[in-house]
Amino acid sequence: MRNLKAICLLIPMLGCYAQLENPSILLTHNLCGGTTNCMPAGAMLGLLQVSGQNTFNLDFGNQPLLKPTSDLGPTTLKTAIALNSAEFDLQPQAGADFSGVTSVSLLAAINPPGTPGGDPCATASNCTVIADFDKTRDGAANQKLVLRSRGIDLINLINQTNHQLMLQIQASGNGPGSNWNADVSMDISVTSRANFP
Amino acid sequence: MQLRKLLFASAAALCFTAGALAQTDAGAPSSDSSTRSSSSSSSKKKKSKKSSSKKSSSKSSKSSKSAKKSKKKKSSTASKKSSTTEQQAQVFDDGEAPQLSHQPVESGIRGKVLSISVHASDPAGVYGPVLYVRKKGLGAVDYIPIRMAPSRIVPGDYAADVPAALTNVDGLEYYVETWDMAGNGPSRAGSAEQPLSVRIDAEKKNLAPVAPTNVTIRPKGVPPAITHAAVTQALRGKPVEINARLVGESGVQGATVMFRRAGEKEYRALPMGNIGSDDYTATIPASMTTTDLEYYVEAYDQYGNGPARSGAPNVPYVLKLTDVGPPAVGVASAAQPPAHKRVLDDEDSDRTVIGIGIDGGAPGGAGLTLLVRPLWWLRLNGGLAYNAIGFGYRGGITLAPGQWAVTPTLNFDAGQYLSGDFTRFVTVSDPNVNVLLAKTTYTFGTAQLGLEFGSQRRFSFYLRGGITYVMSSISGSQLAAIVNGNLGSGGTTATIRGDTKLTAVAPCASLGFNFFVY
Repeated sequence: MRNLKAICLLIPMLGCYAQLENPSILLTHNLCGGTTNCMPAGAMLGLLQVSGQNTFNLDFGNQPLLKPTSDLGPTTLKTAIALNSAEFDLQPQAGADFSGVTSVSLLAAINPPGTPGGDPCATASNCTVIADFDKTRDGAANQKLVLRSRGIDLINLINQTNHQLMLQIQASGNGPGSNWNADVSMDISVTSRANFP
Repeated sequence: MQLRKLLFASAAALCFTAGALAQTDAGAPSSDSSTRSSSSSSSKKKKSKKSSSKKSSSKSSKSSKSAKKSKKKKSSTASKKSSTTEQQAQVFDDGEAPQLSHQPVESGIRGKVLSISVHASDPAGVYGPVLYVRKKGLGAVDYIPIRMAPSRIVPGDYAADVPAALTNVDGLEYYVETWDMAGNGPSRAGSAEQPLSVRIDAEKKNLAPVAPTNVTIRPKGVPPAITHAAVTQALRGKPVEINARLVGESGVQGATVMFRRAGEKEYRALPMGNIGSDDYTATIPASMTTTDLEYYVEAYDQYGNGPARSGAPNVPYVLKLTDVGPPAVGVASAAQPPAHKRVLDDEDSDRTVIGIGIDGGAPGGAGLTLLVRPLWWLRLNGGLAYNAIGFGYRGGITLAPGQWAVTPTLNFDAGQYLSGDFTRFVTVSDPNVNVLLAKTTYTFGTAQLGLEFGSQRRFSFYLRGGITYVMSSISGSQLAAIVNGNLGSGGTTATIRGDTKLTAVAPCASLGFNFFVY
């Protein structure tokens, strides 16, 4: 009987929802921390790891919207963060470009590295490619190098303990002929929806 | 009985005595008569010798009595004998009894004096006359003689008043007799054996109330004044609303629409209900609108004064029923005075079209709206909205497919709240979030089914429920500030290019009322 009453009360709520949506949030990270052209000229990009500039964290904070699911009263809140695309924008520098770059991958680490400051993707299975660039597929890049999204929901890659998304950039080929710097940006869309009940 | 008779005789004796005294007061005529009587008695003796056949025995005895009386007077008044003898020589004797005429008195009033008059004349002069009166039914010896007095104005008229003491009976009988101075007579009106009867009636008292002068009796209160725009056309099979304005100094009660089908004799009563102020309404049910109708409106005041009427039983308003709506204003105004021409509707000419609506609900908030009804089944509304955190506006349409006491409706509304400060209700520590909540705006649309109770043309109360779509947006810069505050110091910045959309679909409910005033 009680269930029947509950059903009667909830019937009008069927199909009801509340949704928050933003189609384009741009998160930008400067490889050199916004200071000097820290990246060496003509170096093989695969060696970027040595500089330690290819790994960085995005802190989303402890917000209910940034969890895969959360219960708010009678509602269940679900959030999705989709990566639309990622870009490397070369800092203005005469005669320099990314034409020597063969491939770039943007990876998200599921778990932190075993040692602080270590490579989270030392174990390949700990990282997931969320976007990549392939010179053969996408053509040679200029000052802007665009990575194609793999369509993975980032919300599942945010560490639920420290609320951070750990990203790593891996590349192959040659970088610009002189020291360089670039802004790495991710264009993401966020959709958070609460369904009744 | 004997006692009563005795009292009557005593009263009569007193009256006679009074009458005699009155006669004595007359003075001269009495002595003259006496003188004439004595002289006439001698001549009467002579005459009796000449024509004894003319005299009855009673008359003779009276004559002889009179003669004896004269002789006694003569002997006692010897000094006057010579002059008397001279007068006797002057008495004219025509040998005829006096002429006596009398209009019988038929009735009198108990306890009042009864006047009886006669006219008597004779060349020799009249002796008497004497009225003999008795209670009706008594014997011949019970007559009471009353000497009749001569009139001082009309010669020959004599009258006597029967005292009031004698008229306290059911009836009287009387007769009058008289002689002339020569002793001829008597002449009679009535007789001792066949007296004239007088009916004595009780005094009639005027029992009719006498209205006081200078007093105006005016009923309390006045019938109410009725202002009514006649309904002359309506749709067959549809209810017809009859409205009237009833204004009464002493209140209004019994407001009724009396209606009948054309051809019927009897009217049916349909009570009118007050719908605010002085406005009253009644709805003739659809079941009655199959043929043309006749109606009038009547009402009383609280004291029952009235009825005041618009129309009348013998001159009712005629309500024509048609299968299609009248072709709007033109025809309606031809059949109706211009005051009734307030119609936007092309279906019916007697409908209110403008009103006010007040409602409250969630998430639409409270609203004060202006209502316009361009078609009888369609209402438009627009006005202000308030949701406890800010103001906005809204508008919409309502479909009402009938005009019943309980009418289902379908309503669509849309609106926008232009301002709203959620920080009055929510406390947050993040200043960027505070900025965001300080201006909370949203747009909404609702679709609701409802039931309206009351008159679709005047006042109705409604309950509605349905679904609402709410849409809001968060400024990109404001949201970016919030996000950057949470990204920490890792060198990552967030740029939000567009506004963040917030949408919701939720159930909604509202209640309110509509009041059409024109």
